[in-house]
Amino acid sequence: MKKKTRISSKGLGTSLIGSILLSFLALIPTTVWAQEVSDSIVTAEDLLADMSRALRARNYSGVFTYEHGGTLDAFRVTHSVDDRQQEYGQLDYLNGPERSVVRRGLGDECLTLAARLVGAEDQAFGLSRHYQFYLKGVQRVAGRKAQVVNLVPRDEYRHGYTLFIDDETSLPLLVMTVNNRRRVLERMQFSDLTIEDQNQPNQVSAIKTLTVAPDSGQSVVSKCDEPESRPLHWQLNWLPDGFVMTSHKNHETKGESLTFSDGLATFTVFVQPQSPQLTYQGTAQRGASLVMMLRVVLAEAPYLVTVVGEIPAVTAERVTANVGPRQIKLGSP
Amino acid sequence: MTERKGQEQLNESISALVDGQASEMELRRIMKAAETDQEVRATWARYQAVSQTLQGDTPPTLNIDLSNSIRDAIDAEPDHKQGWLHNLSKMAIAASVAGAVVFTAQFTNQQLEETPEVASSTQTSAVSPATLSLPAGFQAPSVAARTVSSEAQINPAPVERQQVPAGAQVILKSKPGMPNEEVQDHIQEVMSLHAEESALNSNRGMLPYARVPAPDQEQ
Repeated sequence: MKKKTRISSKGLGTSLIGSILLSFLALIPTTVWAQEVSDSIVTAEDLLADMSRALRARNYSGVFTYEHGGTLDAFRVTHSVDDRQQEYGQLDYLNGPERSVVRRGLGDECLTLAARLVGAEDQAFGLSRHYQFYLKGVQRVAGRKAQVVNLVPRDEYRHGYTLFIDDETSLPLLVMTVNNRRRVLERMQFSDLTIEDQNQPNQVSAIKTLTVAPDSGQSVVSKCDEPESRPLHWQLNWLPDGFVMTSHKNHETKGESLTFSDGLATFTVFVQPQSPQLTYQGTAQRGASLVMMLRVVLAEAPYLVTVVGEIPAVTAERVTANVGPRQIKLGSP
Repeated sequence: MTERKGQEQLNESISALVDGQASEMELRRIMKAAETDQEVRATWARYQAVSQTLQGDTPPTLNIDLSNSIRDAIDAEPDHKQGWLHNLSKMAIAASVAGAVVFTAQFTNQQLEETPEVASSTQTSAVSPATLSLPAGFQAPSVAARTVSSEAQINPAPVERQQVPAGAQVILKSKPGMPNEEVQDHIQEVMSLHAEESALNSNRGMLPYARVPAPDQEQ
């Protein structure tokens, strides 16, 4: 019960209801109370769904580090939700050239497919089909108490994760991506996190009114899954189990892109006509990010297929080898 | 690019020589390079001066290049290395070079299979009693677990290993070695585009943007 009041964070209304419920519970005999407590024991699935929700609904700001290999980068992230439940976020790169990414005006319509996968009631789509979940107790990160959840993939096509989820807010304090040899590929870790109970009108308006000068190193993302009206030309003839297509887009130079997610891991496939400048093919790895480039002939024309994502090389190899022209099946939209 | 790398290697060898830790091969390479490259001599003198200053015994102004006279003296010496022993040592060097090549090739292939494990000495040492109950495959790394590899890795593709579906055909002309600037820009751009998708579809908030390397900074 206590957990529910904590998580829902929808403002005063829910906490009021929560306290009414709590005072109501106080009147119930002890045996029933004990029952309630054992029912509310958190499962890893709950923690993940809470995390997904908290990232969208909480007001927070903090500094986190991204470690990959021997390299450590630092970032400041700010997230606020306004009165109309619109999300405003900003991420500043604290190392190297000044850069930032601003996201504004994401609303409920941005409850993406991946968010739905994590919160899925229907276990047919649930993450537990593709990962084994383990609760690993409590540890302390960024001066806060965190529940440790270990996600072990059930097949070789995805990486594993260790998530340290804040006990109080369900925000991820530490995310480690682990390969099948138990090696940590990358780690994102908050070193400092401030939670605001109320939304911060100043922060929201600052992000709202932020003007972006060209070449300032800032990019603004203000739309969520933008539906692509142009028809698809390509498809994957093989997909790892549990991955669904979350978007497809047409880019000016990078051709058509298809993005797939299983709720935690994502990868994007770019199919573009070959250019004389891009004769290289091979694999690049940075942290958990893998970029695989392959030149292929599809439908009798030369193309460059690039797969980018936090996936093992074996997945990327099978994906690049299974790009084909889209076949429109009868009866499908 | 390769020239600068070669220069760096040479400088490392010179440094090793100053410290008295250079191998015979390194010594030969330095002497050969010093024949034509004034920079090598200058580097040698500079490193020597730094080393001596650090040891605190000789003023760094002492800057005499003896390599010419030493080389002349060596050239004047009659060649002692005759016969099968000499050839054997040559073979030994060749064999060790071949060994190094084979090792590198295997290592590169392994990297393609999965992420390189360069930092084997700094890998996760997080097998606490609590994690031993896990089934085979994974254990929970501790907060302090290190990430593997030391930098961004770029590997040429093993083209012949690709499985190709019917109708598609792989162009086998691949350029090994370091990718050019266009490729780096391409990687930067696709990673950036992917991060936008990932930020929406991996339940990680804006954190995935952290993965995008700064333009003109890395790779």
